[in-house]
Amino acid sequence: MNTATKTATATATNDKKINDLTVGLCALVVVSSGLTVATPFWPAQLGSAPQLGVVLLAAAIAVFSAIHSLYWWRALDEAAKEAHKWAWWWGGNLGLVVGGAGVVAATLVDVNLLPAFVPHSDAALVATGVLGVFAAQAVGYGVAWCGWWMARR
Amino acid sequence: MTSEFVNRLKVFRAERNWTQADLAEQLGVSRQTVQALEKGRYDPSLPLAFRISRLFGRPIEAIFVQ
Repeated sequence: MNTATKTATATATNDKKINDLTVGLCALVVVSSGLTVATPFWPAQLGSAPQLGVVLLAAAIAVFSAIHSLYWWRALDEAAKEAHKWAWWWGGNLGLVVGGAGVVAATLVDVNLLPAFVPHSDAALVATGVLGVFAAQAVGYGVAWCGWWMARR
Repeated sequence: MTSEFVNRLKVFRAERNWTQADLAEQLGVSRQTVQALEKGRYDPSLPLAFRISRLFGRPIEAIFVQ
């Protein structure tokens, strides 16, 4: 079997796995929508128990995303993987540092990062800080990824 | 950024009248990867270098020259 044939076979197998996974997730959406009973063994301190279907679906989406990411990663060629790894390290970490410094600096000079319509609370402030840093990390990642490919055009 | 190797990928590809997309398909990589390889801005892994070598029927050192 030559290289092109091997590659085509591997890609087809990967695509089939992703398709099977997607069909499974769609089936679970249908099943979950019918499960309206409260989730058993739900800790009382977390408030009222959500519907079992919602919990199952959330768990399935998490597993689906993880497996889908694995297949997506396997389908990438070595240069594309290298670009992502480089961008993850340099772009992600630089974005994290810059974003973190920005959030800390904003806090020190009493800049209100919360939009007016969001109720002000400690939880909202923490969430804003986390999301701000995450956004900076994502921007850094994107810029570094584009830079890696631009430098190799 | 530029590799310390000179490669003759473009020459061998042109000899066969292949496009970058043709070569990419044969090697199981993206066209962007072939472009980066040809420009000497990305050094292939050993497995990819062997695949290139087999595809062109030449030893690796005939394709990648230091």
